Order: sequence, then structure tokens, then C-alpha cells
Amino acid sequence: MKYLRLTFPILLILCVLACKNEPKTASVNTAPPAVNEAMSMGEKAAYRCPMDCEKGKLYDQPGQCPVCKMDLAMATADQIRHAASETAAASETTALPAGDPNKNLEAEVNALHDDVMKELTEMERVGREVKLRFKTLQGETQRKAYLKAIADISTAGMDMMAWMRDYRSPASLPAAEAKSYLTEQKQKLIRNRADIQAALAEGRKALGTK
Amino acid sequence: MRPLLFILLSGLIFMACQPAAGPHKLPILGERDVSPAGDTIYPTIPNFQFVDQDSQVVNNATFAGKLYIADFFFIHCPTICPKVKKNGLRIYEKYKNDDRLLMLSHSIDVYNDTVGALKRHAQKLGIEAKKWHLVTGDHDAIYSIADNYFSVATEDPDSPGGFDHSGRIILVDKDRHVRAFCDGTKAEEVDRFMHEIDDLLAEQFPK
Repeated sequence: MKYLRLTFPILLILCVLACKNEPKTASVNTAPPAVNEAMSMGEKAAYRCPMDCEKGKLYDQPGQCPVCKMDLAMATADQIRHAASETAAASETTALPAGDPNKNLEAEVNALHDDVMKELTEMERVGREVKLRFKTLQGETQRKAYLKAIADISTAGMDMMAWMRDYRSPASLPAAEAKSYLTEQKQKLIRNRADIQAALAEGRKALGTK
Repeated sequence: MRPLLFILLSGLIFMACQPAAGPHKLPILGERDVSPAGDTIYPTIPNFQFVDQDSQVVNNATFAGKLYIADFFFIHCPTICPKVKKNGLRIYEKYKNDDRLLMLSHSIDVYNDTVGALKRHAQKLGIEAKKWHLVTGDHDAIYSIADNYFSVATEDPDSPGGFDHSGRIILVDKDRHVRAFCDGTKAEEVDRFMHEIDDLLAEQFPK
């Protein structure tokens, strides 16, 4: 009986401890310490998740990936280099070096592109409605206005897609060339945007909304 | 008496420790309607037909009895798509050998992203067409189905345009209902999304 009195609380504690050991918290414990500076790895071996769950994150010893629970694999030299460049470019869409005045210009072009894409989506929506409505039209003048809107919407959309097809991030160009390239691209985008807005207005006018 | 009490108690404690029953059940997204007969009607993804990188027809039948994730992209997108593509590849790697889930990416650039261009893109990504369909098709049909996916998968239904270029990835169940979505540009949102895929797999394919 004396033994029982002792084993009971011990078992209870064990039971509670076992319960706390849920997979999510457990994985944190099994994950090996991360290598924060990929560059500092030098020639030492590094490990990474085979699925790259943590975007190039490296560990200095084998273990489990805390995200997918797979065993970490030995990283190749390429992957280590890649992880280093990844960290450098992590928060930026541009690969230009920090402090480069062109960086702001490229960010501006990217932001402008995102805005134009929103307007393009809206233009496409109006364009679909215009085409649907066109099929039911009778009057010749009305049909003409609709046809003009349809053509302009289509052209503006194609021009924007063509811009994106031809645009290249100028990261590898010399600074002066990159600057003039980005300035030119920005101007082109502004023109595309004006075309999209005009076509959108035409479509809306044809539909009689706004 | 004591040993019995002890066994009972430890049994109770053990049961209390068990996680809540089953995986988290994902809601059916979108505004629901009520039929004249009084049944709740959930929005569903309508019929579609596109062509993928292998020139194969991709339609609703392609995804019959399976879950799929859908998104919209274009090869030459300079900002958002590369990030979504990277996270898409993580999803692809995780479910590569799981036949219960397929992937569907629509190109919104029908002028440039021809079947040949999609094929080259797929080869560059190293993905298989039977798992991850990159599709093109009628311009208006693509934009229109984007509206269908995104009118449901949005936090703010009144927010203006831009859905086609939001980088959003959408999870569709066996019954064509949208069950979850995430911002495909954010790695941590995609982590959460993959847990939701697991939950839905467990729900729709009970062992």
C-alpha cells in the first residue's frame, strides 16, 4: 500500500507530461538550432529541409524540419550559396544592392504595375459585360459605341500584357543604363495605365454606368 | 479499492488529455442561398473547360472525386507570381504523390501564355501535367471563372478589382465548394493553408 501511495502521484505526473507532448510542441524541441548567417557557414556541413519549407533556412546539425517533420538533408554548396542570396533579397522584390538609388525606382515600377493590374481586372470585368450586352443591341449608333469600347479594352489589355512580357528587372545592368531603362519603363506603364483608364471609362459609358 | 480508484482516475485523466475529436472542419465559403424547398444552397464553381500544358482538355471531370487548389498567374508577371509560384512548388512537393489532391493554375495572359509557353514553363518548374495543370483558354472564360473563385474567396466582397492578380490560392472540395484560401505570396499563410488541406483530406476521405 505504501508503494501504491507513491506510484499514484508519479503516474499522474507522467500522464500529464505525456499529454503535453503534442506533435506541434514536440517538433520545436527536435528541430536543431538554425544557422542564422548562411555566409558564416564556410566549409562546414549544413542541413536543410528537402522540401525547403523554410525558404533556404540552414541548420548546422541533422534533425527534423519543424514545418513538415521530414528529416533534414545535407545541403549542397549551391544550396548554401542560394540560402545566402535568399537572405539578402528576402524582403525585397528587387535584386539591386541596398542603397542603390535605382532600387526605389524599381520598387516604384513594381508598385505601379500592381496598381495597373487592379485596374486591368476591373476593365476586363466591364469588358465582359459590354460584350454580353452588345449581343442584345439593335441601334446602329449604340452598336458603334460598344464596338469601340470592346476594341479599346482589348487593345489596352494586350498592351499591358506585352509590357509585362518584355519587362526585365535591370539588376544586371550598369547603374546609368538601369536608370534610363527604368525611367522609360515607368513612362510606358503610365501610358498603359492611361489607356486602360480611358477604355474602362468608355466601357462604363457604353453600359450607362457612371 | 485503492488500485481500482487509481486505474479509474488515471483513465479519466488520460481521456481528458486526448485532442478534440477529429480535425478542424473547414466551413463552406460564400453567400448561401435557400431553395424554395428550404434547402441551403452553397455557391459552387461552375462548369469550365480549358487546355493544359500537354494540350489536354481540363474540365470539371478532371477533378471529379478529388480536391484541388486553384490560382491565377501569368508567366511574365514581374512582381507577385514568382512568389506564389515558389509557394506553389512547396505545395506540389508535399502532395506530389497524393492522388487525392490536384493543382490548377490559370494563365490570365492568353496572348503570350500559349500551350507551348506553358509547356516550357512547366519544364522549367519541373512539374508534371497530371498533377499540376497550367491552363489557358478563352480570355473571357478565364477572367469570368476568376470572378467565380474570388467572389467567394475574399475577406471583403466590396473591395475593388484586382482579384485576378491577388496571388490568392483557393482550395476546392469534391463538391466544387470553396473551403479555404490563402495569400500565396506569404510563406506562413501557405503553411497554414497546407494544414487546412490536410484537414479537408481527412474530412472528405475518411479512413
